[in-house]
Amino acid sequence: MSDDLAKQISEIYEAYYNDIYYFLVYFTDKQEDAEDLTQEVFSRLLKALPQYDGRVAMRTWLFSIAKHVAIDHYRKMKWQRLFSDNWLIRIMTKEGLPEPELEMKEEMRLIKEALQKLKPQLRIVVILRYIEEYSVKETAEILSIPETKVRVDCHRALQTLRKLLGQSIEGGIINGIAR
Amino acid sequence: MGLPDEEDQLISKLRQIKQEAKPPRPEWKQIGKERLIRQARTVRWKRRITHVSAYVGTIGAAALMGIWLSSGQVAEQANLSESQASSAQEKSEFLPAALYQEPELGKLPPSVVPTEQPAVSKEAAAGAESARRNVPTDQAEPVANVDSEPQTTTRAERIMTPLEKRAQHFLQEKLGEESNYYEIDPGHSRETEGYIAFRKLVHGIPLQQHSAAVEVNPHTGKMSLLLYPIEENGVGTTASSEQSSVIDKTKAAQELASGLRLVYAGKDRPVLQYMSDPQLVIDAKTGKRLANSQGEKRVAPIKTEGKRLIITDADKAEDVMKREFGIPVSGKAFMTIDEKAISFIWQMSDKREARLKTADDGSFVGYSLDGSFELGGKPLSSLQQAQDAALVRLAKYLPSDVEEVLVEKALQERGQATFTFVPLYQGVPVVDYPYFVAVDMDSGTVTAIQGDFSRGSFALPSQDNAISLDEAKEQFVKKAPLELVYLNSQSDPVLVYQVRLDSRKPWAIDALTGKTTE
Repeated sequence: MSDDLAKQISEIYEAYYNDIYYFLVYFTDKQEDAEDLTQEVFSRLLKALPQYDGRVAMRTWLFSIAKHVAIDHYRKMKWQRLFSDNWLIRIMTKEGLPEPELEMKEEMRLIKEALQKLKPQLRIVVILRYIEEYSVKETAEILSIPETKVRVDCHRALQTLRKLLGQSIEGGIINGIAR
Repeated sequence: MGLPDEEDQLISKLRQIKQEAKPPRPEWKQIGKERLIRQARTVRWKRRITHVSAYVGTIGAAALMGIWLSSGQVAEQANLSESQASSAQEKSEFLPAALYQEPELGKLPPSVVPTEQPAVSKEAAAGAESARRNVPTDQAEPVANVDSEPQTTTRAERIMTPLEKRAQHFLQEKLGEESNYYEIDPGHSRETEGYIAFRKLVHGIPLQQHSAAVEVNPHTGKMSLLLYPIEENGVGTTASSEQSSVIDKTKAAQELASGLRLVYAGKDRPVLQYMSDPQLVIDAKTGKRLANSQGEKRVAPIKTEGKRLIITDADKAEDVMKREFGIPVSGKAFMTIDEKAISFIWQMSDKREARLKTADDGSFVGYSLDGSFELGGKPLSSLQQAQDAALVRLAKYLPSDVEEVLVEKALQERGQATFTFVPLYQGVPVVDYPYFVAVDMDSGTVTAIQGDFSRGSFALPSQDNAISLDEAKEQFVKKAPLELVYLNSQSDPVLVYQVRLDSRKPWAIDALTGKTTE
């Protein structure tokens, strides 16, 4: 039975690792965090796997676990945002950004930054709908919410993103969006 | 911004994030997979352990039934138990010995504990037996008069958790035969943090302030042993083993009931409870209360201002230290963040250090100074003067509806006075809101202050519907979980009665319903 369980979990891991990892890397914007959280998702899945009855698609189930893991992570990290607008940011700008960030296009950096400022529920909808490019129906299924709510949340999220980007660009740094 | 094509452009940019994302690192992915497979195997082990435990449990129950049905045939039962143990052992070949052996011993009744024990003294055997069974020692020992009253003061025989079994096995490895003198102390264990507490036994009775703890690192699984105090063998041997003359539990309970007080307990939503004084103990021989080392609790009036401080960044922290508290910090603060608080730390010349703490929402939690800070104060000559200075500082930030505080602790040593104050709300202490203040006697400086200053006021339930103190005392005498322990004083250990201490859930009576919190 256990060998079955080990075999089953490693197959699921191979099949869905990347999907879950990318979802979490978009959510956290940090590779290390995404890797840790992905592990957490599969660890939680393992505990519940013997009860899996196949009524929900494995991908959907995994994403719903990932959603909870992401929100838990957001709650844990909440205190950091207390300083994100002032102290920590000032240190970063004074002391220079890490190399990979310097290489990143300014435009993309601002979009990613804006995405990180979205509330977790809206951020998840944006990731699933626009980055992962799931349909409204699939997104609704993963999040266990009605399709209408997906549409409303998408609309709100885009509005908020535009607002955030409008504040960031200060006169039109972002190509194509600011114009 | 705001036009549909702009929305499309934004969506298109969002899609580009996909190309920017760092791919997963293959080595990390592989490590994760291996870890997961190990976890899957652990799940198997746990299940098998559960099955074997259930099996052994069934056999144990059957053995007990056998004893009940055919008393006097202990020898036969012992044989039966041995054969069952070996049978169960065959089943447990795949289990680590430490995980397997203890539960069986823990479940066997005293009469069928295998006789092939290491040759130890009578006292050690008593202690060992008590530790293995992990039952209250006042029940395990044949103490005269102790159980003369039908009080619900004993713990049910409990089965050790897997972590407790590992911890006990580790203790046995490290201490050898000495480990027989320790029993698991669930009241002070924090199993979720991998911390299992033990307490020392003398003549099978717990010896206060002598404990051991096994810590299991949740990430690496490594275990470490902590002993308090570090001592030579033989401590407590001067304790009298004469337990036949202890007073009746009811008498002890009546005496202990005099320490009951009405309090608001709880952090988020304080509720009214009658709590016993955890410091109060009754000499089990004389029935007299033993002196409280922390002195009498006194009420002090206070004129509070309810000022709230919110500190959101290092500049604000520096400003607060300088302007609000008059503490001259210099240099950029180093910031640390843990689960409970955010600290700003200034390390200055002459090994001086100042620390300012806030909650995660920026609310002021406290500050502390280490080293000499010349703040122009005057030397203090008495503890009362130090208390006045402490209250002046505290008054500014305590909720404005607090008019009195209870001085829970007041100590003066090594040139420093330390106080723990508890606010009184309409005369009732709010015990889970303690405020700590330290004052330097040479300079009169408040060198530390800490507490929850985030509340503007205490809005607490009315005391009108609380049961009377007499009713609470009656409940206490009926239900309080008293235990017999040795209190380690300067001289020989003294046998005392106390309310069983449980750091997770202190015993109390709900003042509105009259029910106990257990």
